[in-house]
Amino acid sequence: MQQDPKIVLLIARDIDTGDSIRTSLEQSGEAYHVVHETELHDGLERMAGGGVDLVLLDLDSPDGGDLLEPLTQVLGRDASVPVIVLSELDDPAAAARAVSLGAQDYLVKGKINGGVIVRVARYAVERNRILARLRELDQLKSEFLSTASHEMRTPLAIIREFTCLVRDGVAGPVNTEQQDCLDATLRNCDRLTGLIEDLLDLSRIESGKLKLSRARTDLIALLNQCQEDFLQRFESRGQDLVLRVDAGLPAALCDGDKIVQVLINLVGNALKFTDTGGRVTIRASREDDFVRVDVEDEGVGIAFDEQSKIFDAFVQIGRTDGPGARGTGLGLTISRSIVMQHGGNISVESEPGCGSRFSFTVPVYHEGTEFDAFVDDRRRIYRARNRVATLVLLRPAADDSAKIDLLERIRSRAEDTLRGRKDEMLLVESKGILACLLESDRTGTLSALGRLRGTLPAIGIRPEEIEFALVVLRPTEARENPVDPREIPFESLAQRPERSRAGRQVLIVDDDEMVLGLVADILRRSGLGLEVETTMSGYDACVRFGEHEPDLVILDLHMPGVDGVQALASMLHARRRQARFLAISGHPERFEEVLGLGCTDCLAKPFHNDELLEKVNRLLEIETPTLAGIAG
Amino acid sequence: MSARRIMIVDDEPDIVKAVAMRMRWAGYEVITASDGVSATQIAVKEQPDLIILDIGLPGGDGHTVARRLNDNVKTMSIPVIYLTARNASAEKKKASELGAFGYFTKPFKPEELLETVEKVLSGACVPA
Repeated sequence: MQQDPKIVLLIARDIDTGDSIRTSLEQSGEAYHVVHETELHDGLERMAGGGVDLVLLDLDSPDGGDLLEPLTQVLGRDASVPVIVLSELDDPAAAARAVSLGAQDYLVKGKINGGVIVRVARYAVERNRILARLRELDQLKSEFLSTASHEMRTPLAIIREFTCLVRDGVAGPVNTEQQDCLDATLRNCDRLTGLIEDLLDLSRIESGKLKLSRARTDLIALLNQCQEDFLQRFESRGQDLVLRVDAGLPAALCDGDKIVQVLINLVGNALKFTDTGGRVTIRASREDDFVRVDVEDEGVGIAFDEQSKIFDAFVQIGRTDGPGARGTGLGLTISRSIVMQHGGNISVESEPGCGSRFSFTVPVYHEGTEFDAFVDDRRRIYRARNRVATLVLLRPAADDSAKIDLLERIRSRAEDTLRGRKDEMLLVESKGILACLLESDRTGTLSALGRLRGTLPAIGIRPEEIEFALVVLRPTEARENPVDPREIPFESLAQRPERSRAGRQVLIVDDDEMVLGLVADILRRSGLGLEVETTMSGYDACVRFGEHEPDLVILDLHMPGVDGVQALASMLHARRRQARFLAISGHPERFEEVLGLGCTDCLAKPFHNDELLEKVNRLLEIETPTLAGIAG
Repeated sequence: MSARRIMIVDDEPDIVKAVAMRMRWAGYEVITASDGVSATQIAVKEQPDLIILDIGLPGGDGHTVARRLNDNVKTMSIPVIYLTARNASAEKKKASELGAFGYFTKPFKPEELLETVEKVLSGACVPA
């Protein structure tokens, strides 16, 4: 069977090197087709065209500069294509760096022959295929888990609530025995909820995806809240919960929600293992550069040989009777992960018969460190998701006393227009910047900044008053490089061009997957630089429209569920900017109706690519003399 | 005093049924909606005294509905309590910014929900 040839892009200045590699590959008996570009930027352009299966990159360049810079650029263009680098430099450190940046292999030019190239190429392609599949599976698993968790809460809530309704007599009188039965059901509903949350936490931790959102946190407030929340349970058992906080306790740098989770775990355990009438003490103090929290109980204590195992998963010690019954054995494991991800430590001191003391530490907050934590936490997330993200830093052009105020005013505007996720913004007062993270590449981010610029006059700010800087965070990059706002070049927002044609957003809505893919393809390959998003559901389209209004919506009028016309009407009603609407349908009879509702234009199916593009051009007011660059 | 009317918005029919049963038993009248679009329309038309709102809705999520209700003079003073499976603090923050009077996650304790509903309707509450 004739195999499709693999396209190998060879980027090398030297013609002889190029010829010799091309010969080796094309005469190997394996189907390779080599494209040789002598200039890096030509190579990058060729990659943009797609279809490249492997890149062979000669790092040596007469221009000097960082050896691995071309590698970074190639990977930045498309991190999914395997790259093998070649260099005269026989340096294991350089080779290690290249691989850690994402190269599949590092070949030393003086030490290879044709056979080596062919072998290395074959393995690189194969390895890359496996990696891509693994990433895909990992991604699927995470998405499944997070969807499943979310999905499980609703049926659980329903079971619980109907059980409650019957128990409370809402559905008719119940006798005491029936009430007891239902109480048992309810208790186990609650256990189930806890179990699900724990299991999901654990799986997230194990895949390294525990999402931390660190910020300056007042632990005293957290501890007070914790005490308040537990008060009733303690009182009902005649137990005491005492809080002892050192004077002048500094703020901590941590994820408040996660630390609360740790506290609930430790205090809950203390409660479970302490007899009635006993006391649990929570202490908070400063220990070097950390804040230390101790949870002490006067309970049964833990045997010495079990103390080392207690943080392991699914290990449970001691009482299997009594209130609270058996847990999952995951609470301490999760707590340990959380604390360690913060850079802290967790430990236990215990003596059987006397009680136990669980202690954990979290770093003290130092001014400015929340920015590094912010960048770091998010880098981790996007790296795990294998997505490119861009960090945008905004600061006032003039360094005056009102700068924080200016940033606050921009902040809410930025939340809408920069399309950042709701919790992806951070105002770092100490550095005088507003940082936000967008899940897009440089082009997408610049276009979003253009949008932000357009909305500033409405809040009385001139673009000249703001400067911005971009840092693209690529998943293949080593995590180590800290971002220092003082060392990144800032530009004036006034210099950003008005919303350019490139970056216009189009949302396509069609329940027919083939049509959807086809239309998206036509638009993406049109060379118009459009940002295209798709959905098969009218409901989803309305939701997305409400969250962020695109420039153009192309929708099919006939879809199940929310019918296209209804979705159209809903979006027209929700329109705040000037989104245009293009209705497509196999039944032109409905066109008059939708045009009457306010739809901007219509297109009858079946249609030709040119017709679609012509309409899109017109609706987005793009003047193109020709429709060159259209595929197919 | 005529019965107070509560509107329950959730795309999950069993949730609507369970919460409606609980509210009616407590003496309230109940109207319902199962998507963002009709929730807004019905709220404007019927002007209930309180709305119990889910976030994950077709046709515009709960936050969008809350925002639209805030923008409409007929509905801007109707208190909203969130009842949702989502527990992220970002969602709670958003709800609070939109003026929610309460935020309950599923599974929820019906006594707590009822208590909050009663407090809000008696005017003794300020937004969370």
